[in-house]
Amino acid sequence: MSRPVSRLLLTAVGTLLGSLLVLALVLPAGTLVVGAGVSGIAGALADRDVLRSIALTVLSASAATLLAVAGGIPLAYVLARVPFRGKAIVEALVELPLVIPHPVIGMALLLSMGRGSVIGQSLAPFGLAVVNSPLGIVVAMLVVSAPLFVLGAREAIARVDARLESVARTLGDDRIGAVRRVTLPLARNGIVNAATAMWARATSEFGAIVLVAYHPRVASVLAYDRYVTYGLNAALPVAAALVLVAVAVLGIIRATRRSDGA
Amino acid sequence: MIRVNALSARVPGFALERVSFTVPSGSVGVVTGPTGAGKTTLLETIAGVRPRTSGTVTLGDAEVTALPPEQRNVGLVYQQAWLFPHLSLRDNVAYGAQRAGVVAELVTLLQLDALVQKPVPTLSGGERQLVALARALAREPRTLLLDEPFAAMDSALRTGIRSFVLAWAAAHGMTTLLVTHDAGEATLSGSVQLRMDRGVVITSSA
Repeated sequence: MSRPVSRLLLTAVGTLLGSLLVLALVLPAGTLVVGAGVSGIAGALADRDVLRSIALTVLSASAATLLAVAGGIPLAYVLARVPFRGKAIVEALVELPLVIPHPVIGMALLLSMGRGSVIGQSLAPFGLAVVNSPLGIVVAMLVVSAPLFVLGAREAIARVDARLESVARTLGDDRIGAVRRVTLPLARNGIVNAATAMWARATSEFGAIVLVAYHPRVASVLAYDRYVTYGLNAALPVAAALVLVAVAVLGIIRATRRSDGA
Repeated sequence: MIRVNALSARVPGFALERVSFTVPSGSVGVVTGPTGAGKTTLLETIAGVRPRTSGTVTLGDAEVTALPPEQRNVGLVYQQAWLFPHLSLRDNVAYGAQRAGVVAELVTLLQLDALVQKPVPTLSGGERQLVALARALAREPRTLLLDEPFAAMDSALRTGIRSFVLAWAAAHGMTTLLVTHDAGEATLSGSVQLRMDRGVVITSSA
């Protein structure tokens, strides 16, 4: 076979496979939205339970992301810059939640932070509980999604050449000052992208949350609850409304990134 | 004064081995040697941005071996300039300045006025080196460590800027250590000559 023909064939096969993948990604959500219909979705969006679950999801994911940013930036900096014994182990521990099935993480959280655990008993006198509480939702979102932030922030910081920090230090900054004035501003876009990726992942979390906090219901748990209680047709409008909300959030995030030059 | 005594440092695949020399106060030390000789590592170790494994560094009257870079009162200029790309040219120069007026003075003397509106990432290699020099001088350090800071300038500009920088350093009581491949700079009159190879000083007029 001649070279131009084989190249043409390769292009055609690549285009076909790529198109099929896009179709596989879009088809289920598209079918869901079409199946629910405009009136069904409008009804779901007027449903107070749906609105409450969406608000709870957004607020919980935001809280989890803020906590991950507060603790994750120092950790990402150390992983990006500081050589130390056992670093590979720490990196593996950070990545661990990405490879553990999320219901398993939920079980682990129940064991380690449930009512019978040391943490659970320590929180009880303050009227706090992890199980079936917004705190539990935030913790579950944090554990399953924070690795995305830490790994993304680590890469963003590593891309800033360490010699810029060295120069800043000869100009009078201590290490924290150099990081604050040079490294973080230069890594800002990457850190913001990592935070938005984590936030988006947290909003869609189901497996860990459903075990730790079935109540109050976040959006994913509410859709699941409607499905198992009333069946697919009754759950369709809720599920479709959640898909549209997710699309809107994704659109806002992408538009923000573009306007930021990222 | 720069006094380095049996200074050793390790980087992946390379070691600086027991380097010793003295550059008297207000003088210029010129370091030459092939690529990979350890010249940049030497400057970074003196500045404190690279840890040493043994030896001591004395700058002026004080031994600074245990001090972090920000307390050593050094100016470090790399061949690659390493300007802060998120800051304006003027903010780069002013980054470590401690005296009012010194930034404007250096911007004028180094003829950077015409460049101040240009975004830093769009500056040419020679322009970047000019800004990096101004930034280090504006700090008015006790010790100036220059790692081929004129290499990206054309020869006419290089001679003028080199003369200016060394005169400014001398006028402000700075002791300078200059790494160079330039034959003209390597034989600067009155300078302490150091030739390095494979992490050691092989000849020294100090």
